[in-house]
Amino acid sequence: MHELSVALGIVKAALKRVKRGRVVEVQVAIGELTHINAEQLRFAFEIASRGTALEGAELKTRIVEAELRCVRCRTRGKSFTCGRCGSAMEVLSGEELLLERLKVVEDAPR
Amino acid sequence: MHRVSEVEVQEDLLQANRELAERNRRLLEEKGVVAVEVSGAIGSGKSTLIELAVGELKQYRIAAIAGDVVASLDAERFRRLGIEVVPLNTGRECHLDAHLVGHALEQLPLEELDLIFVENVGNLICPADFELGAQVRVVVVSVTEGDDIVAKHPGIFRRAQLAVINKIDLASFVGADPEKMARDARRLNPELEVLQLSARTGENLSSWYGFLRRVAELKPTSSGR
Repeated sequence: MHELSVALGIVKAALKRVKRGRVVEVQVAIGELTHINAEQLRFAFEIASRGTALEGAELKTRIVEAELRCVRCRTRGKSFTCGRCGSAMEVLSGEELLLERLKVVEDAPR
Repeated sequence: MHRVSEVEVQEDLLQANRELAERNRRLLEEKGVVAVEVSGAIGSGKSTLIELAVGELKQYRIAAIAGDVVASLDAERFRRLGIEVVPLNTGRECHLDAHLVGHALEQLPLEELDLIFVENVGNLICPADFELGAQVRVVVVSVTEGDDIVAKHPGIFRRAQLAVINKIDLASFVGADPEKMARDARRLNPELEVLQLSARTGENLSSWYGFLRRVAELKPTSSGR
């Protein structure tokens, strides 16, 4: 639901790093536990990137699987309650929204 | 001819918010104030529960930060109770974030406060991705949302300390089982405290006040005022 603000964040973070050329591909990793929908993010990105060096870039997404660990017995799993001892689980991965890399095309100096 | 290059970034876009939330939390601790974030769906009873608490907990100095998408109706409701209120309009956004809350905290006389209620935008989904820095997090759901509402929104319950199941006086009319909701909430978060109450009839409201008194006493610099 907040895909547009995330898309704007992606554009802003990318523009910080790309001073020349245009971005043709953006790779993003979405944690399974976030509430970001990849399809909506692509749509929002299309709008957020208009008029910038990212306009027309392909937004590629991959999902980062959730991994949790029991705070007591350290058993790993995907549920929010430890399957072995019933304690709470801490999140090791799955809450990130990572801008991983950009593919940039630059016209070579003549 | 053109040249194609790869730029490694590896920036977590949610991390910036987490860092701001941490800054808010440190500020609150420093000033000896406890912030209680109240999230929940539209119409679940967030504002009513805050209003009732302000009326009941007269021994504490209370302020509120009221998140709304556009209007400032909730802020007006709280202001009528005679407390200081910072309205936060998110524009079109579906959640508060740590940046907005940080600015709201700047507008409050933190040294002179014990408790700050931070009412999030009515939404069970997006606020789960954005910590605000409040030390205490409460999620309010009502039986009228259907008794599968908890199981459908695991994210928001995971980081909460208290789940309030509101409107239990209506459970039989809407065919909802508040016990199932309570079980679902505990399954998502074994450390979660769960209260079933009715803000309208007053049933079990004393537990809501009791919870707030307990967290207010956790004040880092409570010096026996």
